[in-house]
Amino acid sequence: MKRCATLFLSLALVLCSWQDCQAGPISIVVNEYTSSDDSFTTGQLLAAKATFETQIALWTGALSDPKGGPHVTVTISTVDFVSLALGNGGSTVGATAVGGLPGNVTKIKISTNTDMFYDTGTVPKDQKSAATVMLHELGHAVGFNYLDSGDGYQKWNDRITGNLFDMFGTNVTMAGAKDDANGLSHIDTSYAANDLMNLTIGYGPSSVRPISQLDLCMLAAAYGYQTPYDCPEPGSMTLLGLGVAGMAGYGWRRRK
Amino acid sequence: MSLSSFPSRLPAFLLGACFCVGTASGTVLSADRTASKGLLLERDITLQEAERSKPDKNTPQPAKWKIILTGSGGDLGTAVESYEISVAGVLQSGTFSQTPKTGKTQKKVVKLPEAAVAKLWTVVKDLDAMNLPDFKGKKGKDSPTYTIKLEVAGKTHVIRVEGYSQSEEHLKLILAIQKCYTEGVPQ
Repeated sequence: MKRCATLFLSLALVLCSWQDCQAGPISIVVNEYTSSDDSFTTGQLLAAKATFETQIALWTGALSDPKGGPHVTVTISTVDFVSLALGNGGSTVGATAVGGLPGNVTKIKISTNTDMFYDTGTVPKDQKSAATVMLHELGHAVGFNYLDSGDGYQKWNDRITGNLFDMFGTNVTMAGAKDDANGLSHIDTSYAANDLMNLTIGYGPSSVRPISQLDLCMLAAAYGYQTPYDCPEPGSMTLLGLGVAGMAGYGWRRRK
Repeated sequence: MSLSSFPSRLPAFLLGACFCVGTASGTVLSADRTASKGLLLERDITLQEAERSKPDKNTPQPAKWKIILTGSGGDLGTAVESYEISVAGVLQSGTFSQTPKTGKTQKKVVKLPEAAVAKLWTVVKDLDAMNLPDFKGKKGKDSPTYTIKLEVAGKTHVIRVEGYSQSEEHLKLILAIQKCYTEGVPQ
């Protein structure tokens, strides 16, 4: 019986490392869309909400639940379209983990200022893409969130030493020095320029940025998310090693 | 009172009943009025005190004053951005400077219309900016930190702001400074 259990476990570990264990896409739920900007009309709010939901679909289409882990649901209490200072596209406040995984976010603010481009078409050179700002802030909600003063996720911190994010052997340079919670939640431009999760997305057409393979692989490294990419992961080598060791142990015991 | 005599006395009865109900409800209403009036009085006193401690809103704009907004961090990146609004008699100028992570500071100077400066002065007065305290909101991602330095009538006041968008007053002042600059004409 004991041998049988060992054999089964070993086979399961080997198989699980060779093929992705099936899991569904993560969920992102928004409880309330609002606008603290009186000049933002209901029509604009509805259009902005639709754009935000499109960005949510991009993240949920790219990230699946961790292997063997629980279903991840990120709940955002409020998305507020609000007048912010020039140059500040948005902010994410009050992220807390649930079971160690990204879970709750109190508020995401998206600027309605004149330097934001909410329309479709080419982004003018003096404006930044509102859709990309939304996608970027959602990136913080799903995991790019250094824990400081109760805001952020511990699993993200666990992969950071100094200003380097350890992606299972690949060190990604982050945009902040040690203890800079904001900088350590963004990828430095010296490592990857024009990435969605850089500190700033700039202005004009280059402010339109997609979710990159690097973004997804970093999230996979921190939280175990599954992605469409072949990301470095401990799972492959560690699980394969454990499985092979288990099989070898079983064979050795049989010979005895 | 017999039942037979009731119909003839009905009008008097109804009149009496109305009087009783009116008196009773009148008592409640007047009690309410007294209470509200009391609250209003207290609030009036508080407002009057607040008004007295504030400078007069009609105080004319001084001939010389300056306000400097400096922002860094958040999604401004490591760049430092600064907006300086300077008033010296008829010379009213705005300067925007940006210091990137690497490279030189870039400056843009604009000539400000009187109306734009007057609008900013109104906000400064209304918010009593010379007495506006520092603000430290919740730490979040992408929100820059700001320092606002005012120099009015030989006095200097510095306000440090973290999580600026969580404070209506600080947000209003920051937006007013930036708006004033954007209304300028390049020199």
